[in-house]
Amino acid sequence: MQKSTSAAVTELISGLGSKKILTTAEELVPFMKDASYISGKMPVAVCLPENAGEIAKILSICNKHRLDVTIRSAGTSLTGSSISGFPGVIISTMNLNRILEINTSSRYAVCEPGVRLDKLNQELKKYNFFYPPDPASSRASTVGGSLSTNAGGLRAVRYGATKEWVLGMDVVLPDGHIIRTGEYTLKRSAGYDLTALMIGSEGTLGVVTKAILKIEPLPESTAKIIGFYKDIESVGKTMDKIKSAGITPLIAEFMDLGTINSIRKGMGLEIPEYTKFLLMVDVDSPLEALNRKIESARNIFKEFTGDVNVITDIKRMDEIYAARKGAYSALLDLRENNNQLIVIGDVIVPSSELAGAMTEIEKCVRDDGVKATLFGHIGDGNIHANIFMDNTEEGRKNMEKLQMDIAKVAITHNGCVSAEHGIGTEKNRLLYEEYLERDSLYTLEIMKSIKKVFDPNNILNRGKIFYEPD
Amino acid sequence: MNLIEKIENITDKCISCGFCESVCPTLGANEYNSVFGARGRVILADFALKHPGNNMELGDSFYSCLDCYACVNVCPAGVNAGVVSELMKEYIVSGASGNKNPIAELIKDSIIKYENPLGLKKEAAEWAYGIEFNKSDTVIITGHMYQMMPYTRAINKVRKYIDEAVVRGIASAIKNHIPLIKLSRHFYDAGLREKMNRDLKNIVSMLKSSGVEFDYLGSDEPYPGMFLYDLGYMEEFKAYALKVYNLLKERGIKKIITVDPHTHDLLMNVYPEYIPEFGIEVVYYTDLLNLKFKKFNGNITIQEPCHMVLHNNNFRAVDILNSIADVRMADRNGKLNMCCGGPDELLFPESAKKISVQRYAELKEKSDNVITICPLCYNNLAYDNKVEDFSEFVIDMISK
Repeated sequence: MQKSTSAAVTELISGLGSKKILTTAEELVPFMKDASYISGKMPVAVCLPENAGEIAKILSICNKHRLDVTIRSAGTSLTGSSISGFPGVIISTMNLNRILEINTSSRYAVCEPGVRLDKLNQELKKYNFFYPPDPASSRASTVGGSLSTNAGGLRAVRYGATKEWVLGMDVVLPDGHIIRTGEYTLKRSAGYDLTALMIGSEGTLGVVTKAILKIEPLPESTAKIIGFYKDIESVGKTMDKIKSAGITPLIAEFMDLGTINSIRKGMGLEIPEYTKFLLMVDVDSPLEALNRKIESARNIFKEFTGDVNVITDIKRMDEIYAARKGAYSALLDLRENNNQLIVIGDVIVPSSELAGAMTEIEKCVRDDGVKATLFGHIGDGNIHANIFMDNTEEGRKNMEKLQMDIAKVAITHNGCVSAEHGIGTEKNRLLYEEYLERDSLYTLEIMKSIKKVFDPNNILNRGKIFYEPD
Repeated sequence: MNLIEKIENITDKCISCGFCESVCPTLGANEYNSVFGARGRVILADFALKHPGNNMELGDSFYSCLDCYACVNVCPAGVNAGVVSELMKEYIVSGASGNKNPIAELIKDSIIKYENPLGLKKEAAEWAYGIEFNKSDTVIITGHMYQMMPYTRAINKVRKYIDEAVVRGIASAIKNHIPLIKLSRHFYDAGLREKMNRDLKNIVSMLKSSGVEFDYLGSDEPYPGMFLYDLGYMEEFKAYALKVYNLLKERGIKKIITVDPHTHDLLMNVYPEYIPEFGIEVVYYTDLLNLKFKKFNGNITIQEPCHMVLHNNNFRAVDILNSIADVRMADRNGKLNMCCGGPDELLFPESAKKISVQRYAELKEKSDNVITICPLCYNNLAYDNKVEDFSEFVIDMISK
């Protein structure tokens, strides 16, 4: 350990006490992994602060000693955001885990970053409310992590991603300043929107210590409509027509046969033999009008497929929702061996472009000769390619080529290389490619300049988001 | 498969998604120091095996695991971090890495020498003085669990005031003079002892009323060796379990009635794994009850035992309670059940306490009347007199 690093760790221990600063190898090792396939460097220390003041103290010390800092909450990042490429300090926000206030008349909840999303929704359900962003990892993932990646999820077709649901936050900056962005109000016309800037910044600008989140009443009644298809074009056409008919689904998901097979048991549905794709649409309505809504949607489904299931039983709907949410996990059973990894892609295109983009992506998968299954959020055009990667140098190269090929399809269709998982270190090359293709690399330069304002010594999450070509 | 291959066979499957951490009780109780959480344990095990010769202190991470198996019930890859901890304890005990825990060492020696973790085999039979049992090839095996609780509670009351390093030092000293462990007979919570003895008597009474005939081995009943298994002393456990089995065989035992979930799980699932010829039927006492019950005028909540609901052992206790009362389960129930923290009581009392306080609050949110179905759960959750063991609640509900 370098002298300055050692001095910084000593200062951290004297500032916060040895119980809150972990330094032994066995305590540090677990923080070298998150849900991505990437392994981080062993940190020199892991900090377990309990409040914003302690985080300010930690950051001031690290900033003074120019020590790299990575922010982490539940460590569920799929892109390596919550591990460090450098032997620095990791700050865990998991001990800031209180729901501070729920206000149903002004419709907001105030949370600390370590609150898990399912826990928040469990509390809100008591008031008949919910917080809409629902990444598949919501059992484990937190408010802090979902803010930092602008997480989406199944309900984004109706409610959008996390950025639509944050009114304001408290943020600790690298020099120890604690700032407030936004307020408790639904509207605010007050200069630059720093709240929006913080969302999706993946811990590169500051540490969120409190968030004011919008909340929504639970839908009164819902139904799930599922259709089976031979081709992706018909899936796309069904979706286009549903949306054009003025129906905004709560959830609109598609999956290919590989994905269907992995969750077939969990869904408990009769799947016609010809099926290559499945479309799942949730609609909602006041109770007395639900049947009318179901009929409108079912009639559109019927124009493109003969097999349509309507499910209104809440328990069955929950089972199918859970099966779909667990699709990525279920694919693990399809691995050829334990060393094979599943790397999940996250491109997005305008929803009307989805069928065309899917056809091209399927061709990429075939041409590259890599095993992959496809599912995603058709309502918002988000396609997840689940790539089975052999954990070898060659396997990694093949995976990276397929990721890049798929990214280029998304870019061509006016889309983006990452919809809801963030960039981390895994996708920074793809992000660079996106701006290169758009002839707008200067956008990345502006982002870097903004980072410099917040973090002039570049201590926060160094190596994340920005790719530096040779 | 050798021990290392067994561990790697599980850790290789882990994708580090962190779902297990959302249900692991010890993580929150240790301020989110990940080494005390399910995912951290799997990552640490994997790292330790891939870097042999490291100087890491592995013990506390794996010894603090409650073996509740909440982790595997939410794991998308089917990884059981509880089993990883069990195997890693065996790895540590084998001397491959890390330091052995002096308290665990003491308990191990006491079990081997005195057939009881605290050297209290004789005391463990005192509850049954005066009760007449049948001559039968069916026997009730208490596992000494109800009987040990008053002693662990009293010992932990003292431990609260002593630094952990000193406690470990005392444990090492007693280990070197093992008869001293028997002094623990002077340290017990008198009220709890009376209550636990009463629970056992109630269980016997209900079984008899149900027409079940059975015997009791009295002061010959050996402790079944659970701590040897839980603490990773597998060689010692194998030899010890064989000794217990031979005793049961000599006595012509064909059927065992268990009264606590830990002993039940051990005899039902672990013994046959290590003693292939173990052909003794094991049945949980609640499954033998054949009684008519009155309706309880109120609601209750239930602390389900991890060794039944999360370890996939079926039993009728919850059904019986549902037939008697308006049951309001805690949000975390069934396959998402939360452990009471009890298994950490001896080695990590502070962690056990935090977990039990949290679980107690979750249960109380649903009903003032909490029913436990395991002496460990009772001991850890009985913060007021509205917490009752299944046996004491149900015996009052029998229709006369």
